[in-house]
Amino acid sequence: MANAATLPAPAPGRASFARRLLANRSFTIGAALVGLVVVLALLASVIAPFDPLKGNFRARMLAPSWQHWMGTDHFGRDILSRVLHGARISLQIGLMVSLITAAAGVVIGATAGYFRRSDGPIMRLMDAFMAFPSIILAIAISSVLGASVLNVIIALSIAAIPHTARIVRASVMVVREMEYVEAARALGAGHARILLRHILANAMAPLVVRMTYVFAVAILNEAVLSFIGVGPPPPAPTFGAIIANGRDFIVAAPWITLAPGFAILVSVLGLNLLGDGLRDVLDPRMAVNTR
Amino acid sequence: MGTLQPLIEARGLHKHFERPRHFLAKAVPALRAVDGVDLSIAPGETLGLVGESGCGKSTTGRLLLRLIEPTGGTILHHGEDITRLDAAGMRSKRRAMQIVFQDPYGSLNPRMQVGDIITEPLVIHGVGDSASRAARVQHLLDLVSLPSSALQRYPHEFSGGQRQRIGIARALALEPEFIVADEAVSALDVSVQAQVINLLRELQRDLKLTYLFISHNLAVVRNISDRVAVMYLGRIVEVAPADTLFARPRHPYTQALLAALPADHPAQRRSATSAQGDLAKPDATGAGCRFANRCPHVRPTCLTHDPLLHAATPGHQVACLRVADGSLSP
Amino acid sequence: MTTTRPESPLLQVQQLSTALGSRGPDILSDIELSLGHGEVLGVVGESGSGKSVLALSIMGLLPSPIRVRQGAITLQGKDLLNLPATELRALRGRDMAMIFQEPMTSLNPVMRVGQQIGEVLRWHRALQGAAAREESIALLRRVEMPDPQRQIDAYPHELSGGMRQRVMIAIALAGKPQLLIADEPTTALDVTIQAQILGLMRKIQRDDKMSVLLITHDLGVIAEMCDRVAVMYAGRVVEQGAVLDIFDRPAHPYTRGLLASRPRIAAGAQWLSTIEGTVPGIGQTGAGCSFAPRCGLAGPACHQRPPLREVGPAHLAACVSPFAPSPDAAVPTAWVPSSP
Repeated sequence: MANAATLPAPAPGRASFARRLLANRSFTIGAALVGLVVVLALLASVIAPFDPLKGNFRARMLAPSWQHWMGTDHFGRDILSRVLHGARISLQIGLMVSLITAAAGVVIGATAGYFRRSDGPIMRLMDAFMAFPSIILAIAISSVLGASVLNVIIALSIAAIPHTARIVRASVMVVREMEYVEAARALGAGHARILLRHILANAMAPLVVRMTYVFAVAILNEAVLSFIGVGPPPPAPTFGAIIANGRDFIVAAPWITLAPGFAILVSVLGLNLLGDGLRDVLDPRMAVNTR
Repeated sequence: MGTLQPLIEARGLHKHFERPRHFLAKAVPALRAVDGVDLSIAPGETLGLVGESGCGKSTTGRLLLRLIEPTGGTILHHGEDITRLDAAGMRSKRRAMQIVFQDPYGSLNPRMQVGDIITEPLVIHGVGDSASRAARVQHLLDLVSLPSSALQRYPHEFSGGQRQRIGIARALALEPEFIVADEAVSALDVSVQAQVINLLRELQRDLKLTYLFISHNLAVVRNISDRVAVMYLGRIVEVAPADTLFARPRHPYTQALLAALPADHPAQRRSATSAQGDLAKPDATGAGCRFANRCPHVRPTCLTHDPLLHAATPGHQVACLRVADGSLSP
Repeated sequence: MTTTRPESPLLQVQQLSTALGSRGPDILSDIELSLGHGEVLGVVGESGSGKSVLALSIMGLLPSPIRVRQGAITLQGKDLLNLPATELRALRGRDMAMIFQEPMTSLNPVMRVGQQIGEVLRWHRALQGAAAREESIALLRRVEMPDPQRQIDAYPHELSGGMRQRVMIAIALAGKPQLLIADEPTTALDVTIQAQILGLMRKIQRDDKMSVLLITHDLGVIAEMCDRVAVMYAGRVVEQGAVLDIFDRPAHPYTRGLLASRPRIAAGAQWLSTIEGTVPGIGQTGAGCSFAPRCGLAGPACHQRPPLREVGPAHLAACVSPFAPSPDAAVPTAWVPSSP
């Protein structure tokens, strides 16, 4: 009875997932922008023309020129070099916040979504945190903990975890009802296997998209924190710090604030486009049936 | 054939679902999806379980495997009460009792390769080493007539009928003796259905399997079942050997079901239907027979007395007051 | 069973092909169909046959990437494919109406049932207010809805599946259509309710002499309801004829295989006859006969696509070597014995 001996031609599968991603314009543009920022940040020490921390009093408040592509600030420091190093710090913070938020969000959200009895207490706790606007929360935590890169990471993560946990929970609750989960239970699988192999594997798509958003917001929020003065201490050249420095000179030397602002724009835009592209490729296709 | 003891038995099986309600609202009666079901399945037999939507047949199938926990009653496997087993005990029982689901699209993890899907039960129960598992999986593929190239592929690359074969292979991995087929062919096209029905029959013959075949499609049930049980609103209303049930149905609901079937041939078109009205909701049961509001033979006692299954003839049980007292002739 | 009158058919589909996108593969391929006045034509096919796309093409409701590539659809002489949008909209709901498989998703969940019927009455019959309400109740009574005075104000979720389907039929009838397209109208219903709805449809069809295009995968429904049948496979019509001809003298191997593979109550427990293989997907049919890969009788002549040819009076089949009807043939139970 070899009636199923001939399989249909392989329908779009894993291998062409990459192809679909690359065909998505939003994703490729976003990835290009983000890639550019990452490369520049990684090579900051190598390609920065000047020391970001050393001032040159004879070159103060210079407009952008061939020597100083983004001009200099009131201490004579080269803005381009500061921005390049600032990018490194911002990316560091963004990445760490994303990872920590993802890890904590998955643990909390999956627990709440899978173990029904824990759902109530956990989500009420998350709701309590979400009652605060995230930036206020981040400012409060940062002020309490003190100014440093690590504390900024902690503060921003705590601010981002509740919403991420909620998203993971929603996704887990949908997948939990799928018949293949019931099938795994029928086979005798325990909770751990079901959660890891079946539920999380299929609930990840919204999380991945969310992570690009968290990354972008972390960069923005870090800038706010530094601007206010509760971010990493000076003379660290974070985007927010550079903008804060330039606040008093907006009319006289607008490039001091515009340059890091532009860097933030490129990073955040790139991340958003990348996330949108990922979402478009991931979500509807995941549920598609080729028959 | 074989031992007298049934392989699977259910006694007084209940499943009531509490309905969520706002704490200020009036209490809503529970949904009595399965409301006192007795059945027994002999080794090697196929018991067909039929009924319309909401009758509780799928719930019954899942209760037998304790995929849903019963709210009352006992389930016996080789005489052993499995409702009392703890998680570990139930886990080892699962090797003997498996299920094939209705939805060929939803019952396979879209992110697992077919090879992993079929190997998973062996991994969960620590059966064999990777070499012997691979051999077993290959053997299972042969049993369901799928090529080995299927192993590295993902479910979405297959048709509905092929996915059902994958699901069947998975169910067979642990060498179970009992399989619940929950509408296993209902989502398939007619020509594919025939393939899978033949396959199930072949597997039963070769592997000495026992089936509970749940379906709303009477013709399919007729084709594959030895005995058939008819469910209505959480209760079994008639049980009989397949030949007898379809030739001489005694319960008015069974009669209505068979009368409502579309014709096989244009020359056999029906003229009237006998079951009027819609299904009552499974909780809106008063004291009497659940079918009373739609039954063409209803009498006053039917509204106050709830009929139990009673042997009208040996091997043929009917839950109807009028059949029991002989006032409803076949 | 009504027979077509010698006048021109109500609906005529000629050489209809629809495709996916501007250069995509064909979903429907050279469909030829005609439906007479007061006739019930059944279109039967499994998934992948394109039968729903056919219904949507006639109604002009094809979803965007799918479009008509060639062909003509005429309703009472009007060319539907070239009609301006406003005229087509006037036709839809009035001269031709459609009912769908899933009444829960085809009815607006936030509108009362009476309002949904009233919409059609307002647009196509210029009825308002009290007159519309009376007519709505009359329509509900016609579709045998219990307690129509009360149910007219019900929301769809308050009704059972069978009652919702009755509402859909009432909405379809409100415009007094000449053509009713029913796409799997009873597939989602329980057997006993299905019997009621089919009985109702047959009654209304006879009383109004309405033409019905009934699309289904269920041969039992075809046997119950239809005067003529078109069998579809992979986007093509492979056989057409009167219902008795199709059931007693199926000429195309696919039709025979389909009829033979049905489990039937009367047949008892037995090995079922099967059609080997699976339905080809869109764009996977070759140049020749689309059924050839699965046909046990395919030969070299099958490398060319067979046209629909007459195999009996008003009986067409797309096969180069169709089964010849024998005068005393019983209903075929197997066409190629499959070994258990």
